[in-house]
Order: sequence, then structure tokens, then C-alpha cells
Amino acid sequence: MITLQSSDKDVFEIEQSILIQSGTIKNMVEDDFTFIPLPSVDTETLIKIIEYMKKHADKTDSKEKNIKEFDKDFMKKTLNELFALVFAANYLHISSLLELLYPSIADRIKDKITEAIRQIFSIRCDFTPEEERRIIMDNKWAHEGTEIEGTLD
Amino acid sequence: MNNSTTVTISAAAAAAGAAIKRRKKLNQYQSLIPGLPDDIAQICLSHVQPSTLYSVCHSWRRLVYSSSFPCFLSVYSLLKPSQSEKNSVDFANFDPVSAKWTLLPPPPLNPPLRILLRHPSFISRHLPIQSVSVSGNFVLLAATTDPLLPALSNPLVFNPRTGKWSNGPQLATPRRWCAAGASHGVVYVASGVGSHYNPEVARSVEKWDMNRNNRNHIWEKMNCLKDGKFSREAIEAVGWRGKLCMVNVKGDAAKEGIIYDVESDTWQEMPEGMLMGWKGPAAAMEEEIIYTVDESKGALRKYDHRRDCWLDILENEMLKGARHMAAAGGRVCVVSGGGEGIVVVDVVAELPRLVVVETPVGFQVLDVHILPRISQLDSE
Repeated sequence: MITLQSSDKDVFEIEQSILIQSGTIKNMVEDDFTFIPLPSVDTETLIKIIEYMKKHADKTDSKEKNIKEFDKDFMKKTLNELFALVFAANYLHISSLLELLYPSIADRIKDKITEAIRQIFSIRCDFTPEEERRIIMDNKWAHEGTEIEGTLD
Repeated sequence: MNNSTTVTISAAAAAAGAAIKRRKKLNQYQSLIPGLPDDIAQICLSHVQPSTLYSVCHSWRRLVYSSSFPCFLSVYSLLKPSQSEKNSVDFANFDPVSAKWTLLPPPPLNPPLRILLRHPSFISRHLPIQSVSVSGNFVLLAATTDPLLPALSNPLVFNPRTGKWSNGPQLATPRRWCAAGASHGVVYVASGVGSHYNPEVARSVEKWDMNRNNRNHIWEKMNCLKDGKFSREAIEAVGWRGKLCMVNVKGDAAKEGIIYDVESDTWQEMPEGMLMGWKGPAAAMEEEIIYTVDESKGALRKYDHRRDCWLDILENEMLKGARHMAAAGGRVCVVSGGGEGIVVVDVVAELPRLVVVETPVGFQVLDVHILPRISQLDSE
């Protein structure tokens, strides 16, 4: 059993076999650590990470559909929760979780109009009014039935 | 005297002010996604369409063009000034994300390449210029130069990844036109006409394997055609599932079709359904699905090889008179004889939809290819 300590000083005892899905923890276990402090992961996020690893520990064929359903539901979180998870998964080197998080975060961007994207992600628009005008006129490649003006630059 | 001193001081103050402003701008650097380190943000953004990223802010726009972002596809065309009767041909690229046309550098030849487009003996149309897309490269294979001679003795290759031209191996018989196509990174040139008609050339078949990394690039002779029936016109040989498919006459006229099997190096008759429906230009998407446009009806169709028939995708006025087409990345691009505008059809959307890319003012489009965008140096 390995003990993990969150940044909020909460401790969790988990089987080694589950935790080795984290490359970082695996390395520390191989160096004979049994108590692993994680100062950059808060309790809330650590609970979720443990939940994920527990579900993915048993990868027998029969569980595959089950795991896929779990993953789908697991990604239904707020953007801030996803950010916290991706930070933690990156630090802990849990590649399967990262591969799940990247497209999930991208999904919050796809199919949204520009202004909505800027608001959701708190991005400052740094285009000049002239550049903004050009974007609105030009960027219609993906949209139906509109002519795009082309000038030779 | 007083005035000049005042001016000098003001200039210095202005310069200092500008320097402070610049420093402020740098300090106002915003991370790609506030709340995430840039390396993680980059990976997330690589899952989003470049056209979406392009309009959000400068740093997302720069990311789209950086080498760490997946390369998107763009359109390449040969252009001709519409008004002038001059024989000038330009090579250009349309970037669908920025919606900009850019002229590309011409092949660095000395003397420069001079392509003949019009000749009194061929009143109604342009003399053919033939090119093929191979493994993400644009390969110029055949054209005519004054006085009705082959313009190229070896293929000219443009690589978007380097933005540079290079030379392919010399052809034993340079062509003014031929049957040209590619399959799995290998270029095939068959039949056609060189400086004059030659029955041996009209039956010949050669290939150039562009996949080879070593320097020994040559044209290899393959099994001949039975006769010279495919030498009359510039023919596009469509690479599809390890075969090259071609018909010997353009458009909606009676024609013969033939298929070359790459692995067995043999020629077979084209299935009847495929031949009957081939009434205009054709192109294969990732060498898996063949599309064609019925030029008289303006109908885009795709081939169902299990049932040997063509399935309708859509019909549109703007597709009538189609002469050239390209298919890649879920898009089919079609150019008509008039060379006005490129019709782009999204064939992977649930309902196929159509967009027209206007050609640059004062130019006509002669053909169309879909290839990776030009790689830019990370100058920013």
C-alpha cells in the first residue's frame, strides 16, 4: 500500500498495483518510497485521479465497454475541473488520462463562435478593428454557399 | 536655435515612450489558454480546426502556422491572366484558413520555363499542362513550348514543406502530353506525344518511384499498352486501390477505358459501369474513393466498386463544364473550362455542401491540386 498526500494535507492509502498507472508514482515506488507527497495536487483533484486509476486498473476485455462509459461520464466536468485534472495528470504522467483530457478540452472550443471562445477561455482579442473586419468577411471556407473573395497578396 | 533643441528633446521623449510601450506589450504576453501551461494548451488546440483558431487572437493564429501544429491542406493552382493572350503561367497557393492567394516562386530554371498555352492549330482550348500530386508534392510533368515542342525534359517537383523546387529524373522521351498519374508515391507516365507522334512512345509506360531515399531516381520501363489509342489527349490516370484508371477521351463523348494494375504490371479493361459513368474529370480521395463530375449535367458522383455504378452526391450549375478536379481531406475541388472560381464540395459532412473560392481578380485557374500548406519559418 502506498500513501499519497494532497496539497491540502489529506492522505489516501491505495494499492501499488493501481498507482503504477502514474509514471511519476511508479518511479518513486521503484525507489522504495511508500509515502508520496503531491504538493501540486489538491484533494478534490486527487480524489478524481484516484477514481480514474481505480477504474482503469482492471483492463480485462469484459470491462472495456464499462470503462468507455465511465470515461465519457468522467469528462463531464467544468472547464476549471478539467484544467486541474490536466495539470495533475501531466505532473503524474498518466498518459491515458491525458489522451482523454486533450480532446475533451478541445471539444469546449469546437463549434463555438469566436466571441464565445474568447469569453469562455478569458482570451483578450488583440486584433485591430481592420483585422477583425477582414476575419468576419473572409473566414467562410467551412460555411455553406458563400462566395469567398480572393485577392492576390 | 531654440526650436531645434525643443524638437530634439521631443524626439527623444517620443522614442523613450515608444520603448516603454513595446516593453509593456511584451509584458502583456498572454498564455495560449490562460490557466494552462503553453505546452499543454498547444496539444489541446491541435485538436481544433485551424480556421476556428485563426480568428481568436494573434497567438492562436501563430500556432496554426507553427511547425508543432498539424499541417492543414490547401489548394494549389496554375493561373493564367484572363485578359492577356500572353503565354504566362503562374503557380499559386490558396490558404483556406486565411483565405489568401499567394504567388509561389517559379521553378528556378535558366532559361526560365516558357509554356505555350495557345496555338493557331488548337483554337478552342489551351494546350495541356499536366501535373500530378504525389506524396504531398506537386509534380509538373508535361507541357508545350514554342514551337510545339515538349517544355519539360524532366519533371519539376514543388515540395510545400520546403517551399522549394527540385528536378526529377530525365525522361527518355519528353512529352507534350501523356497519360499521367500516381499510385502509392510512384509516378506513372504512359503514351502521349513527344516532339512528334511515335508509335513506340504511344504504347510506352514508365514509372518513377519517388519513395526512394537514395539518389538513384530513374524512370523504369513497364509493360506496354496494346496500341496507341491513349495518345490523342492529355489523360489523367487516377490512382485508386493499387491501380491506375483512365479513359482516352475527355468529357461526355464515347470513349474507351483501361485500368493498369500496379502489382501485376498488367492492363485490363475498365468495368462497364465505371466507363459509362466517366463523363468528365475524375480524382480519387486518398486513393480509396473515386469521384467524377459529369460535366454536361454538373453532377458530382462517387464510384461504388462493389456494384460497378456511380452514386450521385450533388448536382449544381457551377459544376457544369468541369475540366479538372482534386480530392483530399474530405473536400473535392472542381475547376471548369472557364477557369472562373474553384468549387469546393465538402463530401464528408452529413449533407454535402458547396463553397466557391474566387480566383484572384484578373486570373483564370488552369487546374487544381490539394496539398499540405506551405511551411513557414517560425519567424514570430
